[in-house]
Amino acid sequence: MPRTKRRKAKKKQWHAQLPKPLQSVLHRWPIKEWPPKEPTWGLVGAGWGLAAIGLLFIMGTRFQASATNGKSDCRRIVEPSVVLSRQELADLLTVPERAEQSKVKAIVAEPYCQLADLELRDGISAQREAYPLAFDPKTWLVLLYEGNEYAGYAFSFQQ
Amino acid sequence: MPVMPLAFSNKCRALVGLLALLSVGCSRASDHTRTLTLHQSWPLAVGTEVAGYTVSSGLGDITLNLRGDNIHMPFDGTVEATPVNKSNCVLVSSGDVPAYLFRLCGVRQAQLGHHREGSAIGSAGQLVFSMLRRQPDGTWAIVEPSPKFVEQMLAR
Repeated sequence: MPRTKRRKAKKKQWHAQLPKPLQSVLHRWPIKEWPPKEPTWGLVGAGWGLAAIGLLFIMGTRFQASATNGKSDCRRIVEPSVVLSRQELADLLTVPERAEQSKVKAIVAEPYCQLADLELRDGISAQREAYPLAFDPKTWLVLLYEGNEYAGYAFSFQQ
Repeated sequence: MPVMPLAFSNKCRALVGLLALLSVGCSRASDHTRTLTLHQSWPLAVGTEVAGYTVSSGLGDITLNLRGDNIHMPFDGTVEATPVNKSNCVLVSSGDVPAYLFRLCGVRQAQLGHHREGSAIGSAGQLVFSMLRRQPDGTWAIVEPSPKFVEQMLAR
């Protein structure tokens, strides 16, 4: 009997050192009666804590995802003042893929900048030129050429 | 006696919670899907069936033995799911790389959405890769990729 008493006293000491919310969880451990007659506020608190951490994690990944549209990597600024008007953009989009580069250059002579050359298809070097939109400067029209041939366009969102 | 209804309502709450979690999980997975038309049409393309077996790579695809290693984003861009016949593939595209798309089949745990250059977008045992170039009629033609580009996607 004195042995169990000592153990009980030891347990009490051990619990007393813990923070208040943890004490309220552990003093009824192991749980013999489930569901408990009165709410275990420690457990409720722990639940809310976990939910908050989960929510923060989800928000974190969301924001990370929306922030990954980085800035295009200009290798050489050609004409710092160049922006595309609505009319120029509309005209550029009428140029079909595989047209000669001169057809594009007839609409807009110089780009804002040149991006790094790429080798996508085997043995063919691709050049890229970027034009910010006058009415939406954070959106760039990027054109890709392979030698003298216009290959296509894409919109790049700068942040 | 009051224990029974209490336990029952707890089960109900657990079920409602589980359903809520599932609905959140599913809603996050449903965006980022894109379908496209290929310029070439071969009868034995990825995902078609022959004699009860599924074709895992067709003419123009390059199969790489990745042994479960990671695939990396070759530039800042987007990963989208795409149904190719009866198999699931992903498309990699970028606003900085016009006129080209990259189709990857056999990707495990694909991370859909926007990614920065170099970040892992999934892994694969046998990766089936094809490079697609935009045609004037809006279809996409399979073209021959440079080894340098493929290397950029794998070695990090």
